[in-house]
Amino acid sequence: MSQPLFIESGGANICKHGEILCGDSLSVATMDGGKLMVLSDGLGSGVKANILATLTTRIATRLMERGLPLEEVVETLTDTLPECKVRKIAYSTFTLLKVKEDGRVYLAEFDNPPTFFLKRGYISELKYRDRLIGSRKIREAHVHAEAGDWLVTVSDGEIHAGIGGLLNLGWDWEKIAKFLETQVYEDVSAQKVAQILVDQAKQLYEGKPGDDTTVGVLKIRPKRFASFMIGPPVKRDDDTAVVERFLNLPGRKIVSGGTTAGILAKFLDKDVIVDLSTMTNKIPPTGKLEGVDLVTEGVHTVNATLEILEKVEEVDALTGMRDGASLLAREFLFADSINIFLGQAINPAHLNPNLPQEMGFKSRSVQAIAAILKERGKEVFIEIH
Amino acid sequence: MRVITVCVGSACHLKGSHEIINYFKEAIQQAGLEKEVELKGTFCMDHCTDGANLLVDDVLFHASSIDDARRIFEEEIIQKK
Ligand code: FES
Repeated sequence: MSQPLFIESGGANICKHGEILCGDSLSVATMDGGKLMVLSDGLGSGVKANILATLTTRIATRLMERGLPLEEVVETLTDTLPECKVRKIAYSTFTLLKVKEDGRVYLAEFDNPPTFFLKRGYISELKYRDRLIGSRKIREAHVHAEAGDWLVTVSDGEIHAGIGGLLNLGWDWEKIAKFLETQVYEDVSAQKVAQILVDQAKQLYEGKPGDDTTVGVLKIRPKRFASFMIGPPVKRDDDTAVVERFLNLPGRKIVSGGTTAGILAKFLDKDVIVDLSTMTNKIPPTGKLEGVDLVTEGVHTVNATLEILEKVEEVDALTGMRDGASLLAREFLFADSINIFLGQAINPAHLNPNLPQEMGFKSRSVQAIAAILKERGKEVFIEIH
Repeated sequence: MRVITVCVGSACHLKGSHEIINYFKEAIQQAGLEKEVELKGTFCMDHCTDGANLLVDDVLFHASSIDDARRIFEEEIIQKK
């Protein structure tokens, strides 16, 4: 089986100079086994354009999610969009991009600039087929994407950036394509590329955009897995089976809790080495165990990780931090799919009335972390042992 | 080579293992024993209620304060040099 893919998305926009509302709309939805991105540019600018564009992306997203064919999407749009009183048309452009995790890409465009498709860092031509639906000419394409490929869709504000000013004819598609080839690489995020494109356009507009400018980026990359084990299984007989399964899952392996780390160490026949240099007064140090990517202490670390995740959304914000909670948060933010093995055996010593109650509340924090990660669009599975 | 191993597990952390480790770090330096005494950490040693726990070589001690740690260092390291 080929490696599972993940479709990472990013988006950025700037408004036409003097407008508060953007007349473009970009929406990204997660559908089972893939992502759906819709970009729409409403007729004109300001409130009216904004409403048209937002309606377009909303309607298109809803219908596509339900698997309706393009004809119905387009017809519904035509029937639903309010008509412009002045121009007597109900009009907004759209680009629909559906990318499945098996690499299948479906693309439909109506009056938007052609989507940029980058294969292994180079612009690759999309083979479009024209199709007439009602009075609208839609361009459709099917391609197969692999890890390392990118799809970038822009509103025409991007293409026209600098027109009549810094650049005679605007930035134009070909130049953006060349620029993109220098910007997409493995370590850069989809969000970053979207931001770079919009920033570049803003510069070309000399800070006063002549049109709403929106960029949507999809990065196709290998899916990142992580497995996280915290707490020993209630039934000690289950230890080996649980540990074996944990170690056999793909991706990063993370273990929290001294006893749990001990079970793994015994299974692996290796020692846990505590790295005292990572200790802070709030968070106990991390450990090293061959065969496992990260070992941390349990309850304090996990509570602190929860606090971090409540505030931080980007892995980059934690660069340079070495304490266990930051490292654990990084692992969670980096992964797309997280398997949590939550062992509920109670350390009898922790029930002692001389210890603070919070010692027993590990699983509550784990559940809260899982909820945050899910909310951020990650796949999270919890197994309770 | 002597080894001091301080438990940094959840319970011992609450009972001040962080300060105890910092104390030992300093004490070892001040006594100029960096070459003779190694300071290590370990996760839970299964004596949580008695903590903070530590081993000097293989012998278990409990330190509920820096004073305890100081006494242990004096008696077990300095005097047994
Ligand atoms: S945490 Fe130190 S003995 Fe359990």
